[in-house]
Amino acid sequence: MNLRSNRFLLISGSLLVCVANGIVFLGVLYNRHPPADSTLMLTERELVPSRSWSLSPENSGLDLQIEVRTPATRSGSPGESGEDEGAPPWGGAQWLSPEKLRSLGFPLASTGDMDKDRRRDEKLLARDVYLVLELNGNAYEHELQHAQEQATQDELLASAAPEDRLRVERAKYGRERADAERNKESRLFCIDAGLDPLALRQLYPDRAHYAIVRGTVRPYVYESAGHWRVMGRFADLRIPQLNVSLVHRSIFGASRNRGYADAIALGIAGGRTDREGARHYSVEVAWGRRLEPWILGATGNP
Amino acid sequence: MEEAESNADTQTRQDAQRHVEVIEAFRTELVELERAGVLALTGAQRNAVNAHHAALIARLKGDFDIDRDARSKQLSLGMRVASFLGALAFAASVFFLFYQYWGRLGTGAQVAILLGGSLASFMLTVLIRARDATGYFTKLAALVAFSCFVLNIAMLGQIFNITPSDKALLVWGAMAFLLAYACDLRLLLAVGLLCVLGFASARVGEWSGLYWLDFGERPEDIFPAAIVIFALPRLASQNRFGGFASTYRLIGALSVLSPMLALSFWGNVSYLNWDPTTIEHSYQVIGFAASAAAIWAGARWQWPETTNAGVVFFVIFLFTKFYDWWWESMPKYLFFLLLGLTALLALFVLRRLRSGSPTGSGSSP
Repeated sequence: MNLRSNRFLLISGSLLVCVANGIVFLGVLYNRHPPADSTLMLTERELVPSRSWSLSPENSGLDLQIEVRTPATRSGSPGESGEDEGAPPWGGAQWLSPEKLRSLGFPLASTGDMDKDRRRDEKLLARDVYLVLELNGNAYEHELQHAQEQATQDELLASAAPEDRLRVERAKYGRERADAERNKESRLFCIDAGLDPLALRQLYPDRAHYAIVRGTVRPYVYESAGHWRVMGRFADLRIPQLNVSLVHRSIFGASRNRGYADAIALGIAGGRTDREGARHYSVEVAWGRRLEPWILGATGNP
Repeated sequence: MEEAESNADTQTRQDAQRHVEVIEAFRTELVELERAGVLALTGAQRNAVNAHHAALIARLKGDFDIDRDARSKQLSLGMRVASFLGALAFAASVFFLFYQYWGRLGTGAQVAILLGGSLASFMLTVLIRARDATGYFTKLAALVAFSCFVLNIAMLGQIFNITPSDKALLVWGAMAFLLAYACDLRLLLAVGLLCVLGFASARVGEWSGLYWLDFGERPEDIFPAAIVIFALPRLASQNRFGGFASTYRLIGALSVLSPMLALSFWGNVSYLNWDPTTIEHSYQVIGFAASAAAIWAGARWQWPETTNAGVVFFVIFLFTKFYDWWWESMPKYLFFLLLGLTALLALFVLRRLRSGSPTGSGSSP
């Protein structure tokens, strides 16, 4: 059969299309074959409707962004200081210590030559690992407690000096932050990472509160008190968004199409502004055998 | 028998076009020779030559849709441009059409449309190919079929929340190669090569412990695949496909020289654990050497695309270095004078290379 013959082209091309689609469907079936690896009940706090930046007016599809947090890096007690100034601005996690990073396969430098070591560590890129996501667990409780203690502390300071506008403003902001932590912020935290999903599952057997997913972490080199330090940073989930099928669309109230201006405003302000008037809903999300998520069910909440 | 011999080297449209142009040149030169009294054909000889050429051109035109004169050549160029732009527009239209309405469809309908669209556009391409002697409509249809297939696989990944995989590049590359070789489409060959480059770079990055989507952050990952692509026409003959060998070499050369250029500016993205400045200087030297080697190889084996790529990168390397060294410290008139003098020097060197290069026989497809 000639490479340029119509029959060869027709058979090989159709075969390629069918085989590629077949592999995708088999992978989906395998992933969704029960039992699921984990099933979490998430709400509008953890799943925020997302829109891609440029295509929003043309894209009628709806994705839910999985909002994952990492426990904040702090030093000192509430009222004394907030987040560590030299710490990574987002995604930095104290549990991702240099030892932990080495166990994840990052070849952190230890030659003793400070400049050389730093240069080497700064060049390290993200690695694909297994992450543990905790829903409404100790990490969230700790964050909530810290926000409330901070708010109480600020309010005490403000009531002691009501003429100090700075303290009053700070107390107001602290209370708002504590309220947001209690009612609006995501309770889904990335609390651990490893290279073996089975070993992680043994450590976190509760499948209704701990999901093991694939994601990336990377080292972050920063300066603190005149010394450079290395800390791990949660970079991203490999699947950060969930597609919402037509069956569940009405629950999210996403039939409206945003214009470009709205999309840009949302992009600048971040997801939080969008949450202000957001609907309330609960979404049962399962992660299957290939640790790929899908929506099992969704209900609207009053 | 004679016709078979005369057609022995005519396997592609480009060969046929070249053949017709040689005949036209022969006719013009014959008129000049007769006018100068150097040569005079008898009536019988002239008729025999004319009849032979007329039959040959008619057959080549029938087989390959060649341009017989300068006017039809210009029109062909216009048709090629229109075909390319039309294909891009159709591909974008398919993409945006699906995005506009997919949210209003159930999962079953989404999958059916994606799979059906891929198969239907592919079959349409085969159908058009069987009826389109010019090839322009086939090329347009092939590009749309490729776009539908890319959309198909990418959207299935989004619909079912599938982990992004570099293997998708391999599947897209396979489709691009199939359509490129079947429809004689260099643009899709280039797309296929870029897919393979992406896949190979991602794999090299993964072997070094990187997440595959970060492969662009280590430009050195591209080198192995780029070198293989550059050398491939030497290992597997592309004679039957017009312009394919030069596409391989061009993509290979650009894929070697572009990362070198990037590394000559940003040494900290290299795998090497040296001081970034040392890395940048090293890649500047390597970049100059590689560009010069490309110019030399292009002149030596008559690969114009390789020579052009080498010249462009040599000039970029040179001018960016001039800018780094002298833009701040020199008066602007002197800076631009120096650029002009360098261009003049390059012209002399290239002219020397041109006059010294072999003609015809050294050429490689």
